Amino acid sequence: MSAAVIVAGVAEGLQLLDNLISAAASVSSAITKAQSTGTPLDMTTVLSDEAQAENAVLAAIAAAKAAGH
Amino acid sequence: MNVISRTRSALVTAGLALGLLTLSLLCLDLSGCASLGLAPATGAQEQLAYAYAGVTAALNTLASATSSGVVSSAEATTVNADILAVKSALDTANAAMSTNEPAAVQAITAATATLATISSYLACEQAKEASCPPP
Repeated sequence: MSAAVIVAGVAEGLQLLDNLISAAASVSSAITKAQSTGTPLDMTTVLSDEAQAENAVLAAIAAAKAAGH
Repeated sequence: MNVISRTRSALVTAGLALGLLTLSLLCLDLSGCASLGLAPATGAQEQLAYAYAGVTAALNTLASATSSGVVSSAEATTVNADILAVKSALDTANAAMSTNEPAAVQAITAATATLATISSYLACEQAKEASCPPP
């Protein structure tokens, strides 16, 4: 196996972890804001991020189907 | 699938499984979440928010894997339905939060476990192992 293949695999794995960290950071930020202001947790951004991810999957599936994959 | 592709898929899915398990399980635990530099989930609503983040990460991961051809459109459709079922369970927990918090927390825990199962299933399928129990 070439080093390039290994690096590509690790890079994609890191991209996946980046997705996770990004989603978690958004929630963490909302929690911190709510705790510091003493207000209820605002779920708007959390749910908006999730809705965008749903659309991203649908778009990716449609593109894959169009490409015959 | 040749050994290079299998190894690459294994690396990708290992990242997925590790990531989902890290967020979904550790962030439901105060010390675990804090060790990741994230605000701890001190109540059910915070746990729910982190569970939604797990769904978001799973969906974004699936979108990326589908776009890159790691997952076929047919497989992506199936896995997407599985993830959306988890999201639906979280919606139910969210609706029940104000009236029956213990039940909501139980639903969040169950949904989180299902997310981990989905990630394991993806890892197994992409590694093309002999037997992959469905989520």
